[in-house]
Amino acid sequence: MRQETVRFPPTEEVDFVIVGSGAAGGVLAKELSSNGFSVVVMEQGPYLRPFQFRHDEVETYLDGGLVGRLSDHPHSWRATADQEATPAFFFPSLFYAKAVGGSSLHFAANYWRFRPVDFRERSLLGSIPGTTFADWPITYDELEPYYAKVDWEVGVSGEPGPGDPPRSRGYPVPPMPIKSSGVLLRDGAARAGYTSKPAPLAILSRPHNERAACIHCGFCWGQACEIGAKSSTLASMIPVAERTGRCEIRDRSVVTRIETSPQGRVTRVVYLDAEGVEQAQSARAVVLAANGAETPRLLFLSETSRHPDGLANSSGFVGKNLMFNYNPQTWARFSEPLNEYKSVVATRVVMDFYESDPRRGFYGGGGIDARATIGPLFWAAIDNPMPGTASWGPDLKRQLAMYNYTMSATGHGTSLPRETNTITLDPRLVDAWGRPAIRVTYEDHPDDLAFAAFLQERAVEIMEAAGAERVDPLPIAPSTVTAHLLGTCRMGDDPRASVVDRYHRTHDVPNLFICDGSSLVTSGRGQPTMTIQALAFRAADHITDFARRGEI
Amino acid sequence: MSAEPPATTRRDFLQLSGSAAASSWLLRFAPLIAATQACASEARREGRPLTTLTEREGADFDALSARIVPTDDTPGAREAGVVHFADRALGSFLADLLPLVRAGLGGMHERAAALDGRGTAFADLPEARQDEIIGVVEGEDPEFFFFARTLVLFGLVANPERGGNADQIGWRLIGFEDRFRYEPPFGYYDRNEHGNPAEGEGDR
Repeated sequence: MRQETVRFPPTEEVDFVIVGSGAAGGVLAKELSSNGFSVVVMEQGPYLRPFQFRHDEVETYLDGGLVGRLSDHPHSWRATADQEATPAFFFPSLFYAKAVGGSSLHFAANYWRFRPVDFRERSLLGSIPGTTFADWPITYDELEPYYAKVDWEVGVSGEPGPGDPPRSRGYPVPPMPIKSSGVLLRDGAARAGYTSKPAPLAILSRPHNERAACIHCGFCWGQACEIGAKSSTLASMIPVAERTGRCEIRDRSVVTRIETSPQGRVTRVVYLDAEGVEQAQSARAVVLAANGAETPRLLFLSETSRHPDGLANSSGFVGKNLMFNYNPQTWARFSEPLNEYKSVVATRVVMDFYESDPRRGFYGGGGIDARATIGPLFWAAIDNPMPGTASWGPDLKRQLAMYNYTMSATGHGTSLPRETNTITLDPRLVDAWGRPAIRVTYEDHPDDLAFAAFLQERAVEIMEAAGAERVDPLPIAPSTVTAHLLGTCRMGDDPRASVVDRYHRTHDVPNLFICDGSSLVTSGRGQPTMTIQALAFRAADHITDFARRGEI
Repeated sequence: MSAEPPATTRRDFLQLSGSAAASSWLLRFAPLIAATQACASEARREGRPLTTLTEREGADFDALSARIVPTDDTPGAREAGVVHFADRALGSFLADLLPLVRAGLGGMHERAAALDGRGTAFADLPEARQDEIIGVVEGEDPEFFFFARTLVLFGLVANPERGGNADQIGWRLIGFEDRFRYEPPFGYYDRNEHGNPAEGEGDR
């Protein structure tokens, strides 16, 4: 139990402070503490227990649930730098959880590996104007053993399928049982001449690692799992880290600044504790794993005369190259009930369009999955009215009753890195702890939208082949909301064009590491979390080696 | 109150897992999870006073909700008590929206009063006249209409603990049930896909 876990006084220098307890931070905490190091994990949100998770969408989206209240976590958005950014109102535009486990608590748990091509597309396809499209400094083969660790240690269900990248080990548990939407996608794809496979998910179909199997409650997306079958780091990694006796999870700790010495080394992590009192934790090294928006904000907040544009930002790349993954959506209605509110979000995927094909005339790749709506609240108030349906009155009421007859064939595609798509500090908005708010500047690259339209055409084709009574592709509109925050502290060999090296060490500060969605060089095909965690397992191995050799 | 008993019991939890450790972990939490699910919709709304909206605002919002999701052969937004959801939300976590909603309701009230020149409240107009006004408001004050409509639909399908969705009217309308545990098959199209019925009895 938590009372037995270790507590470090802030004045005592620990080996590592990890900022963030989500997909990457949870893995790093488990690995580094298991390797014998003392670790303090700073998490801005609370340490919630599974029995505190609720089937209450109002709490989740509007009443300070996992994403927190907008009044505490304001943020703003604009398309281009010449515009005034608009503060988010009512619904957050940046959707990530503030609690121990981070967004691994509320993700939909789609765990697609990247493929070898993802790491060297720039070499294969050439440059793309208006982008910073680049190869990764590492290959799929280097990352593969760590994908296998994610499969087995974090817990992924699945089954090999067409086009899969090489894998050294099978899945630990079989795929989740197919849902009606999965059957329709599978059969529609087959009739249209495409292939499909079971969706790999970070949700246990069978007990594994002393964790329970999924009971199909249907509240995965946007919600946290009450029984720990969803492989959040809260369920999979944090308990192992705490059992080492060397890892303290310090929740409700809002980091405001990373302090550096005159010699340019990180010394302390300054934060506001649960009572709002400023504290500072001394550390031999710091790992930022706060996500692709919070990590660059923290680097900007940690500027010094030695680091005038933000810590570790001599390249000027901190906060740049923000990527989301575009999701074209297509509704399909069928004559018999699907009851998509039961069980996991997606059970089948079509990956035939994974690779970019120059003959299409634009860059892009991705997949299509068969998925449910997010839940009753989204169905009633956000998804409706469907195209061609009245927004109120008897027509709306009839349409609401189509919930169980409807599914979405959703595309998941690439976003190109652009220097002009950024995370910066909002010059006016301030959060509840006095920190400047996160400002997003984001304009989809034309190729991202062109590929989204292409993917949507395939989804329409497949749903029609599946016998849908009605197919409604939603317009391809500019991005205005995201849960994916990628690329803002890119990994690379060239210190002038990247923030961290291939081992996740910042080029500028020898004892500062960054590993989260911000490390990604390209966006992958729309499901980045598995790769973020494979990177975290790999980073932990290298950081461990450096520490043991006295090279930090 | 016709709240369903929680579908998941301690026995169900034991069946979930072949792992003794997982079972003991679940056993610790099962009663709490079941209690959370069971306390949905325990209170009736009729006669409960409003705390944020005035009586007039409440009556107009209630009438508006009844035109957005009308009552026909099945109950609608009015029977689901969405005005009580809105009243609670606007007095707490959606307090930022209150001025906007209040101004919009005021505008609707004035339109209604002007319509017959006798100051009749929106809520007291015949449905056809209410629909005329809503049509105008939707075009001329789209921001108010959007949030009012959103509040109605949230109140219709939100967890009944939130004050609306009385008797799970909203959930029954869309065909949703929150039973916490299901077994395949889930729907019509996967009915022949699960050769070996999963562990335990299906409870769908």
